[in-house]
Amino acid sequence: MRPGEQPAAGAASREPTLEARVAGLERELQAQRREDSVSIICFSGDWDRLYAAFTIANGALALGQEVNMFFTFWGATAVRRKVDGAVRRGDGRSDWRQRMLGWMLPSGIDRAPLSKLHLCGLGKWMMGLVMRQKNLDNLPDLMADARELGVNFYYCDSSLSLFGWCPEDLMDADRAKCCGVSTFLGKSLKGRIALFI
Amino acid sequence: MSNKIHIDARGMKCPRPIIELAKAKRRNVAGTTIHIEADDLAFESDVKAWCETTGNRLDALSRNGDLVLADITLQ
Repeated sequence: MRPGEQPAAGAASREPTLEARVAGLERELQAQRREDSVSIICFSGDWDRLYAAFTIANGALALGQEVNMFFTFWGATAVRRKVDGAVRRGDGRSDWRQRMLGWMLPSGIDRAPLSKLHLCGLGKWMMGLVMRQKNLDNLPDLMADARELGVNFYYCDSSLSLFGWCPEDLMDADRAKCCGVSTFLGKSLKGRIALFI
Repeated sequence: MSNKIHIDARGMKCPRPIIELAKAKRRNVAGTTIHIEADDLAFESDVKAWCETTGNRLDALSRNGDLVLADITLQ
């Protein structure tokens, strides 16, 4: 068919026009386009795993990626906020079993135990000494940097109700978002990397 | 006139030198030149990767013993 020639009426009705096909492909491409983002699911409340999560988060933020961190289960317990030295206990929504859980769980991100060789805190204390000697960053500093570079925090709503906490019991309650698994998956599906730590 | 800044990242360990670069990028406009020196083993390859990924120009990269010196122009 030469340019400018009209296709036969029968063919036009069966097959979509070139414009419609291009528009369809463009829509498809748009849907498949990935965002510059990294999603990290912080499931573990172990100090070393959180350290890895925040190191990767800072690296990704430094490389100009959007970073979404989703704290769930033991990970959510690690970002509990302290108020005047004491840990917040959940605004009276928690019952005695949840309060007991809260009492037994570590409070604040730097109180998290090591996943190996914790040795009732002795292993962690020694590791802390070596890290200071080698001038490695500590976890609260890495967290502060991630905040400054614009990390997004998401807290698992189910974990909060399990432990009987409200969002205000966790760090960065003003900028963090409480959400469910679909919200977070919706974010991570569009991104380039998703990690479960 | 373009702005020049100097970052002394000696003694800092990964990912700190790159975090400092990212902070400098957030605080400064395009055209700013950054001179950074670091002695972290990972820094030489990390600074290349940072410039490639963020689209900033790596003008010079040299090594002097343990010290890595990099000149970067923010884009």
